[in-house]
Amino acid sequence: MIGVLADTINSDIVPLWCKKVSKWHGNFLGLNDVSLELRPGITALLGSNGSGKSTLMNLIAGQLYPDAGFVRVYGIDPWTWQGKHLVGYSPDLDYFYSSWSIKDFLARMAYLAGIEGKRIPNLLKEVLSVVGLSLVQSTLLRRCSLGMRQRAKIAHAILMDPPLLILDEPFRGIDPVGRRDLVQLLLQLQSAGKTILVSSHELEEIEKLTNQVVMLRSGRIVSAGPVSRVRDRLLNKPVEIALEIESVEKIRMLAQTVLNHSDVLGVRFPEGKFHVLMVLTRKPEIVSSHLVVVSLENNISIRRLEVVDEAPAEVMESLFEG
Amino acid sequence: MGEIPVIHCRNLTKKFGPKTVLNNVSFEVYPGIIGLLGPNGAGKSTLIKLILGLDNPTSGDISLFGKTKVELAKIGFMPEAKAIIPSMKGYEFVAYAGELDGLKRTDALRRSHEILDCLGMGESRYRKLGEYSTGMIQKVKLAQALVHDPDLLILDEPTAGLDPPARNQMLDYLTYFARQQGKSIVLSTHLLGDVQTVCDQVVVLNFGVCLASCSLEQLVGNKSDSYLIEVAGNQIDVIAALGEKCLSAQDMGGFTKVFVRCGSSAEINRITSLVLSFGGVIKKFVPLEGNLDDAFFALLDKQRLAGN
Amino acid sequence: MAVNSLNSFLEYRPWNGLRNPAWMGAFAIMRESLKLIFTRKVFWVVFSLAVLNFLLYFFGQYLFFWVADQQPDGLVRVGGFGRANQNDMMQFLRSVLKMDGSPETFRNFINLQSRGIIVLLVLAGASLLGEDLNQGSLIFYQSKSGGMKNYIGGKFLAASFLVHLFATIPALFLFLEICFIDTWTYLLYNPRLLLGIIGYGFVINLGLVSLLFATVGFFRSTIGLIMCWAGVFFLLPSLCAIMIDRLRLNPVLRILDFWYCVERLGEKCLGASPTLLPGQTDQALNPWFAVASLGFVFTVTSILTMRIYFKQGIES
Repeated sequence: MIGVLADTINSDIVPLWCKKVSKWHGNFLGLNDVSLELRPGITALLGSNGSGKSTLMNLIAGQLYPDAGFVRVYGIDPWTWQGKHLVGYSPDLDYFYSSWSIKDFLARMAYLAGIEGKRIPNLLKEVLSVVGLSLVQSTLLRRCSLGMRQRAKIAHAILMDPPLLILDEPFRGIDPVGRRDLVQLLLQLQSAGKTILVSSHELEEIEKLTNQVVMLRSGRIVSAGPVSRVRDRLLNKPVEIALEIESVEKIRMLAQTVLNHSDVLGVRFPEGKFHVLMVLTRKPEIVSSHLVVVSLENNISIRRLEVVDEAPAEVMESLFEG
Repeated sequence: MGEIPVIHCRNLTKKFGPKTVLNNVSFEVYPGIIGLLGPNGAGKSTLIKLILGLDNPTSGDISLFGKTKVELAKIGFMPEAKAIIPSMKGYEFVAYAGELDGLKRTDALRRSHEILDCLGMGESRYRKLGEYSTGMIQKVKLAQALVHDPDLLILDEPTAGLDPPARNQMLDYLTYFARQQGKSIVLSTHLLGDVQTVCDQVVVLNFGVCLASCSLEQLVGNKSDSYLIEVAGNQIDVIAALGEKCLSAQDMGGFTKVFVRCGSSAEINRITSLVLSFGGVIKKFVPLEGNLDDAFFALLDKQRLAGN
Repeated sequence: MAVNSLNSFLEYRPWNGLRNPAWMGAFAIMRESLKLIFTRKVFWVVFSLAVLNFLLYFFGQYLFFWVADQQPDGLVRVGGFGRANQNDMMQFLRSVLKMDGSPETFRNFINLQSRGIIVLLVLAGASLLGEDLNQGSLIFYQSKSGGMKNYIGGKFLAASFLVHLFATIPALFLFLEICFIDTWTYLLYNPRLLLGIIGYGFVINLGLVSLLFATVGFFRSTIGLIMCWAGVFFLLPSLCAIMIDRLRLNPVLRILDFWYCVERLGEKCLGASPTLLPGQTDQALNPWFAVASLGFVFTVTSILTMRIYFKQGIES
């Protein structure tokens, strides 16, 4: 669960707690008074380009220090070395030496992170098998596909087995197979009890991962929570129900009948689709049931009945546009 | 179909040294939007290069619009790489691309402005490309592919890195150019969702083998005799009453997903009235359609099993 | 339905006008590449130095002719050191500073100007060519009707234009200047010199530009280019000097010195008397050896260029 919280909190047990965080890049306000709390599980961070997603992720990963407010990971500031041990970060761009192999890269990172030399080979074996790179571990990074590089970055993020993972745009440019594997990997990490914050533009993938979203816009959190609640809060407007029936002739007659219902705000015939009637309402459940009843009474067969814009991806798209 | 295929490949094979990148690929596609799908290393980019005539196949041949000789003037190509000159202004770059395709300077500038207008690029066309956002760069790249009015557009990852509104807009433009302007578009992408939204035909490649080339419906399939009904509350008695009509049911907490099979419309009416008679509130009633994701992975799995 | 969602929609228009032949694209590429170079500061710095040098020669020649026209018998005060005979002084100046329209004048001038070209190409060459390789833009040029031939052609024209802008064109101006301040018979007596200037210009053009294409293709970054060209223009001459002047090896080894060969060939084009490098012990190199050396460099760099650019485009 996520939410924007009261001032006092038992922050030691909360994976991530940001309070009134702001960050400027010179004169440019990157992040503006953001308060956020994450609970275990996967949370998606959504927003257009330049909305401050990467800034927020950098702050949480301890790569930047907030100009105002504070960030706590299990009660510890991620800017400190103790805090950094608790956060695994996979940046959006490839910041590694492309002439190293995956294994060399991870081994050197493990060494830099202060892991004993003796423990490194075993640790690498374990981490590589988690991300599914065991068979290709000696491939040079510059020869890796984007999917393999993303997994190498995630392997780097989970080297220290941190409870909180920050993944910036892990799906960018990956092919469908790599995408599917990555979704599997993230779900697997989630079931291992990690807290994961992932940003992405590809809403279909997010839809497969989680129902919890945080929407950023112009450096501010506009909404946070489950998709349906986000929608209700942000788009305070009536929904449309699409009803598709078999017979074209009866559709206007049906529309007239439907208009008699007090919860129906209006009806519309979409251009070029003669079988479809769009019904506008604020109470979709009552009205959709009513539509079924009316159709049955008039002996009209239904082909399809659904609330438009209800799938999480569609809701999120309309949020981006709205 | 009596039409001339836009692209017709016959037994196309391409080898780089010992490595076979394309292995006996044959397909034909017709005007419309054609999705070119395949994981990394499937041979998509090699195929595109062969279509553009930048490289010769080891064996086999390609014909475009029924002709074996590739006319680059009839093809517009939008590369995946950034491929821009950062110090150039947007409209200059598009005009430059036009000149490279043989337009006169004046024509090129006029076409450049026309197309940028059409793509909804306002004053930003007078800014330098280096200052553009990803969405704007993709638009400029689309414009440079269109400037010489080609019949065939080949787009390599046009929606990569775009946020959802920009992505939808790009897809809208693609449908516009295909449906209203009669262009044929080859869309090579990793985003299966885009293909499902806009494409009529798909070509699936993997490890240099063509796994499928057919219309989208054919690949995805349509199980139109199965329906999904969402009923509010937990509806154990409804499910029991449906008996064997009910394929499966799932309690989602708050509502129940019931999958049913019904062949005729009379049967649909019978089922809905049955649900209503138990006092069930129907939230949703949709036919189950195939999904490109599933179809695509099924193809890949089939190939893997055949290989083993 | 899709169109409605696109705001401010102006309808797309088909186009079916006349097209230029495909090779005309090379000129567009040349124009845009030159624009790229002209926006660089380094161009203007090197260019102003080159202009200064040109002005030195321009007014220097004028002065020489003017002084020669004065009364030849007077004595001239030279600083505080007493008086010198004017004729003697002119003789001395001519022997030190060649600014009298002789072949040596043009050789010295073009040699100096080409130093400027080298500096310019080494510093701006990466932005002329390297960016396209790094960004994977070659596929963009390949997919246009002219293809890679236009790209190589256009970039070659752009680089050649720079070479001639710095060396050949100002040298021709100096030639013309002498025609004006001396007599037009100068032109009649020296047609060889006129052709020689143009010839030397093209020797520098082919040599430097082919070297630029190959090295940029190979190194791609300005730093790599500087290292490589420093090797060619500083290390190779010193190496040759050590081998021939100190170790007394076969003087033909001088053909390794790329830039010496270029200058030697230019000398031959202009018909100037051969000069020796500082400390040079052997005779000046036989120009045919220089031709062979440059031909070899040109062939190798051309093959490299073709391989790098065409292959890169196809694999990227």
